[in-house]
Amino acid sequence: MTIHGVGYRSLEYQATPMWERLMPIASMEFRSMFQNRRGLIIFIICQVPAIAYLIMMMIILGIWKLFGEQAVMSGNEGFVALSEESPQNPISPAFYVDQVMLWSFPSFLVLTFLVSCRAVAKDRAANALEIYWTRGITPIGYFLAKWFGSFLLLGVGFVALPVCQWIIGVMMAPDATFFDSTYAFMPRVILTMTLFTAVMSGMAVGFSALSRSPNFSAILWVLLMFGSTALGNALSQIFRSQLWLRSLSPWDSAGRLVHWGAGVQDTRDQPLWSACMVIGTVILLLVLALSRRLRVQEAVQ
Amino acid sequence: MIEFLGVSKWYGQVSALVDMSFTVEAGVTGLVGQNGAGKSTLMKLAIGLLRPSLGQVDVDGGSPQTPEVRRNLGYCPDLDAFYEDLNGLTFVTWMLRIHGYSGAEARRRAKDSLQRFGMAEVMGRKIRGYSKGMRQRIKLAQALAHEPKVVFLDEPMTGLDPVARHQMSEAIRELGESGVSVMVSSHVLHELQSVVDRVLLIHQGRLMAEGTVSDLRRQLEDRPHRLRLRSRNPRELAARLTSLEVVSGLSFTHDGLELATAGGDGLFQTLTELGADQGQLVDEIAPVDDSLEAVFGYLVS
Repeated sequence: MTIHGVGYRSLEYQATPMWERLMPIASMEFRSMFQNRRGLIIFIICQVPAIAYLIMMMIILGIWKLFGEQAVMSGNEGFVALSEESPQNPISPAFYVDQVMLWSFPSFLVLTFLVSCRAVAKDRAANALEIYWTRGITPIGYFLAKWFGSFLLLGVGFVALPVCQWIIGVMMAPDATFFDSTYAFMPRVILTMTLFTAVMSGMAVGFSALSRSPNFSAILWVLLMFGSTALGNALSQIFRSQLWLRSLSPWDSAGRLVHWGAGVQDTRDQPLWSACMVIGTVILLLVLALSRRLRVQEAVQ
Repeated sequence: MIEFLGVSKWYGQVSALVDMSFTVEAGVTGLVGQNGAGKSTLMKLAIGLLRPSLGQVDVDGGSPQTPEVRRNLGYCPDLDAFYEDLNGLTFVTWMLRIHGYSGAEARRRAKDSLQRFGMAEVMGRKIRGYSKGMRQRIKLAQALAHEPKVVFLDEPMTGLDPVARHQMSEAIRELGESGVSVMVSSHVLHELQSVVDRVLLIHQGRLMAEGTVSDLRRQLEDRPHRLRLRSRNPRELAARLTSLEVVSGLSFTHDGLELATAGGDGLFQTLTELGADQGQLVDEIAPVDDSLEAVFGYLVS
């Protein structure tokens, strides 16, 4: 190998908008899960709840006749037969919310453990932040890009797949009854799930900025999320009258807010105020910590 | 152009740089100092990763904190800041996209830059499989791909084999000759000397000296110059030289003498005459302590 001339060619520099410059960072964050076969397999496994709900919906709508022509209800009979409030009923908002809130906690832990809560720590450990800062990327822009990449990754299972289920349901249903029964609440459900995904992915990415070691921040994140959920559940079982204790878990608190936002009955009955307080406090603490930890100077000290 | 005006930098109670004032014009400037002398702090102040506690830093006519200045700035960090799963081409392309180039232009420039650094054949390989030399080249390629006016190279020779070091030196020299302001820090002083036009010597956070190596050596009047004289008859040569007042010390070497002198044109005239004599007592005269290493040693001691 030889180094050839390094003389400049004086090409014109064309300024591009900041968001366009941040997209490679977001894209890198999103694609980090798919850089090897193992990551891709894990990602697919993490989508199992959404896939299972899709299959369930197709069976209920009679699109898939798993048990023979005689045994299944066809057309609208399936969802008409179920209670409107039933979380298994695709015409209920609970169908789209509960598949995430009840069944996707492990997926959330796995995806954030592997990607989101390592995002900034990984760059800090590799001293990549130095290069970003010298290329005119601001800490806020950098964080937003990482957040967006992580949001997209979690959003596949939490927002995109439930929306796909609904679209498939609308397209495959024998008549317009399914659409008529769902179109009123779907925008609210989509908005709530989008906000939920944004908040949770933001928390995970924010957490990753607190440490220099990606492994340390990932383990601490999982311990916190899992530990707070376990503690909240245990304490609320012991002190049955103190339902707010369940809100100790950011996941459960966010779940309470999602149920409220999407207009779904939450069986756990934890108070809304405690859920708001926990989520608000976590966000505030993270913002305070980030304002110190993501300064340009922090990259080099 | 890089300009430091009364710059001091403290980390809490520790002062990293004290009242630093200098100007760096186009060409290659070496940054020399022991570990902990303040080289990295100085470089990071110049690229805008740190703000001075006191004083002002100007790069290319503005603050290095501004996007306009950063656009024309190239930085090659001493540590490896890579995404190991990416290949070389993708890494440099992404860095250019973050810098503000469109996808197609970024890819074209990245290819061009990698080709110039002799990485054409391996640019498609994952960075994880690169040798130390290749990693250094890829760092340099990303630092220069956007053709910056001011370039900072932190220990660019580290880990390179002698051939690669020579090639790297040539590339840096060519860059300086093309009108770019290049600041290079390196521990390999003898190789730095062959590249730089001038040096900044830093010791314990203070600018100890600046200028060309030969200028600096000339200014060290209190230090005797040492010359190595190759001779076929060192005894007779020694006898002739001891009578000269300007000679302050003599010692025999395997092929001649080593002489210490306080200077003076008389000595060089005498040596020339001895060389031209019938006996040809002096075959060769070579300065021993005109090197950057020696100058640095004198100043620090």
